[in-house]
Amino acid sequence: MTSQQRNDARPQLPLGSAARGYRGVIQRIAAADAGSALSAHELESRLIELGFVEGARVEVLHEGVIGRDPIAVRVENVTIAVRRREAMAVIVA
Amino acid sequence: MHLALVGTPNSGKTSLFNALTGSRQKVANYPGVTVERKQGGFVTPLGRQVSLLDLPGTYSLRGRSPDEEITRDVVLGRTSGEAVPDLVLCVADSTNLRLTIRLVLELKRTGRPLMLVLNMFDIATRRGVTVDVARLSEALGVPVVTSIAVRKGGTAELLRRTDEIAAQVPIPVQQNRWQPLTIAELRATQREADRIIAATIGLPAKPDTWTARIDAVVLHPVAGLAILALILFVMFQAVFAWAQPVMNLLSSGFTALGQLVHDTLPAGLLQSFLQNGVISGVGSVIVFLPQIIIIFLFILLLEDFGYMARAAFLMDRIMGGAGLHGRAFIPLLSSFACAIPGIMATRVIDNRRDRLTTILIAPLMTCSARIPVYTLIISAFIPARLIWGWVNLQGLVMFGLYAAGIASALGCPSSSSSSCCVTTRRHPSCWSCRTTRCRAPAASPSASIPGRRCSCSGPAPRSSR
Repeated sequence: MTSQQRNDARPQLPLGSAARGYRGVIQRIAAADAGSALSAHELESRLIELGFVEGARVEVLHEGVIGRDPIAVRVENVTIAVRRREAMAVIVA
Repeated sequence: MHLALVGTPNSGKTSLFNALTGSRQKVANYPGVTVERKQGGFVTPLGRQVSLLDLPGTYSLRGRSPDEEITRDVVLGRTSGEAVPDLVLCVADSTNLRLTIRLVLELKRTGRPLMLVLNMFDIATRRGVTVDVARLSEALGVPVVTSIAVRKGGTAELLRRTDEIAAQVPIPVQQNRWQPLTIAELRATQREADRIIAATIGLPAKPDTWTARIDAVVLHPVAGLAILALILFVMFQAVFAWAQPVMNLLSSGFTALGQLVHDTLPAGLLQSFLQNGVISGVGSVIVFLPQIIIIFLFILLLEDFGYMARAAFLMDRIMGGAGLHGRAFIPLLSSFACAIPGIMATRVIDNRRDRLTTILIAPLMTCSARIPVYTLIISAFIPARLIWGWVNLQGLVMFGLYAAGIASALGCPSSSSSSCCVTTRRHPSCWSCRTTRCRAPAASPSASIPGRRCSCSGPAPRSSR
């Protein structure tokens, strides 16, 4: 079973909703849907610059103490901390 | 010959800069902005004089913040008064090449001569990262060298290649074809970078376990907060108590000096000027030096160990709820001891508006100088009674005063204030931070004042919730 097949079968969800320990692959960036005050263009650019591109593997490592925010996500082999609000722009499966 | 150091934050750029220039550095500001300008000089093995500029860390040339704009402008040669770099050294953390390779691809478009420096190579080798340097150089089209900035002799290869490149006079420069990248181009560049990495770099089978283990404890909901509380307690004790003897010494020293002036000079304008103006004025500022040194030492250590980013991670929600940046907890906590080192500690906050907000509310925290005043007034006006049979009324009032200070400090930034010139209703800016692996700080005295180490995103106030 290729990874693409596996991803088609799994439900898609925004990374901001993922629980701790979640592992997946980035499907797309939907910056307009996130509730961030940054413009969609700016948010998407920043996410790509930090390595959030389609096909990258992500794993949610840690979450903050209060309100489970922010989250520490490993993207390929880089660990990035983002707020869940901005992570809602990243759709994973 | 002019060189410039470019790279993502936390790539060891500054360590490399220090290793190359030693103590021959000049630190100033770029004109018109509060961005630090670090320039140094060194001599290559073949006797060539080189001027080296350490540019602020950036992920791309887009210029999201004043720091990144400076990097972009210097590389493109747009800054008046700055020499266009003859060679741009792109410094990379060898364990984390993904983002830097993309930056290299973007830098290539500018046409400036480029060289990729794989820094921290010893750590990468130890972790099992294998790099085919020749193939990488061929795939990228730029010379690639490895370096270990913190080890003696670790920059030898870099110096040798610099001489080689400098020997081709004039160094071939291509046309500047750089434009701000569109999103599609950003994606394509990242994909290209990933492809090159897959072809030339072998990653270890399992990720860094040491850092993962430390993070499991440090970022744990209970243990992490306990560790943070302990560290903050030690820091607080240090600023509060340990600095006291030295401060008293300095204070009495300056008083003695003033007395000496008083006894030596005849009474008059000069004596008063020297004793009450110069010595007293300068003395009252220098008296705070021990506290400032201690807090800077702690910040340096936390930053170098990589703990600062993790602490900001834990505190972000609390600080965010009050409209503050996650890294504001250190200045605010230090303000309980004394607001002066607390305000100076706000330099760890990158965003100018967040920093200004923290500076303005830091004095609201009850500092130690107010304790004798509180004690005196409370004992004068509040009767020594017991409430509910066991709570001392005077102690309760003291606690209430502390709580009122904290509440006003935390409530200020989040309450709307249209008359305030600094902030209107706002929330902390978009924040994303790359947590680096935990590492032992280098033993060499390459201590720069802690600046923009954590790669936090730039300013952008959110709309109200």
